[in-house]
Amino acid sequence: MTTRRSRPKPDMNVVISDVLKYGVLASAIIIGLGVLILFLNTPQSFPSTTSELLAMNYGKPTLDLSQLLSGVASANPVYVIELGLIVLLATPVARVAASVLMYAMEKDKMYVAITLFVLIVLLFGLFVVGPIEAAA
Amino acid sequence: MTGIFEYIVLMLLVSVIAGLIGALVGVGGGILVVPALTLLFGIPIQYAIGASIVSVIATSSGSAAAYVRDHITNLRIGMFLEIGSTCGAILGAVASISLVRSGYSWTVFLIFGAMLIVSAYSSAVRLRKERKMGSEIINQRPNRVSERLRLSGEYYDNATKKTVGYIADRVYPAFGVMFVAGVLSALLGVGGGVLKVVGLDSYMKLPFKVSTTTSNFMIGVTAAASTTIYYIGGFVNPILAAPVAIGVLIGAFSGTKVLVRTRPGPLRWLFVAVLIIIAIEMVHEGLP
Repeated sequence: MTTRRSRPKPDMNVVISDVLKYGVLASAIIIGLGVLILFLNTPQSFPSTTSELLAMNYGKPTLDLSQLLSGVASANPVYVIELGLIVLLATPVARVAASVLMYAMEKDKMYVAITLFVLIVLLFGLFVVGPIEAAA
Repeated sequence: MTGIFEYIVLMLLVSVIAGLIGALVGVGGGILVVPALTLLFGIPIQYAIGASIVSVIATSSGSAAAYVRDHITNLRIGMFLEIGSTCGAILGAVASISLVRSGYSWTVFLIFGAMLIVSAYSSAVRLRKERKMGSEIINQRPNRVSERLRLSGEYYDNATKKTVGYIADRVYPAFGVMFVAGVLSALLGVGGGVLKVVGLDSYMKLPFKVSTTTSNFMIGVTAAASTTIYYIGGFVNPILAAPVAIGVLIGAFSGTKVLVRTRPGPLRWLFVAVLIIIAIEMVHEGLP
């Protein structure tokens, strides 16, 4: 496969594959680390049963970025796991965003439009539908 | 009463098994995670769906990475059909949350049971198909829609050592199937691969290997569309989602490794039976 190397443009398949691979890998490591911290250094207020966990909705994801980051900085396991989940969620979104850019580089207008539409649907769920459901 | 840490370890183990079985039968792990969390652990279905859909993103994105690199996945067909599947997913997530909030969560159990029966049937059909290889139908006749959208490609078949060209047939019906697959994926917290493969295999008449890998490629983005809604809506509990995501990921990848080395034919028939038993349990749980 030496012929592929002579092309200066990046191969879309390789870029997309890397985004997916490293996104999942990073999130799995962060989530695993969070679980490990949870077992070694359990927070004081941690519920003792799953029904208690759900009744008090313990660890309900925060939407406050500064709260999340300070939680991660202080090695709070719940926030570390949340960060891992966010990285995981962002992985497919990043994959779609990367394809918009790559089709733009190839000047493929039709597929820029198609991938951009998918990206907008994803962001619509995140910024419009999600907050509506959270408020309900 | 079992303590929460025992629960977390148990959930991790059950998720490993779910991912393993899912990979061996050729369905996603999510299809077994939701029944396991609701029936075995008594977790309310909306939280089971929230934890399961997260694991669906992890497994599909992880395995899609390899197939995309090998140029088996058709990116254009996947990205075009994602328009339908992501729109469906948003609708499905809203529908699922509304059903649970208005006290109709039993309907989600019934739909889940029906989906399991269909999956068991389709796994059985695929097992019989694999036995008589070379019977697949690949479309190579051009049509206007796929020409305009450039929904065609070629792939190298390892078995026959030939490059096979293909053109997507019946694009609009396949697009409709993807929309429905998106709704079901979000509604139930599963990947919906079974339905996606029907769209790509039966309607577009793509080679089977291209169908399965392209379906897998689309599942991650489809699941992301609904997961953001479940996440912000507060249905993804990190303490439940973490062991499930890690467990299914470990199980699915070990399952794929096993699958490369062996052909567990009779074992897979057993798993088809397991799917049917779980379907009956889910329907039973949903009935008043």
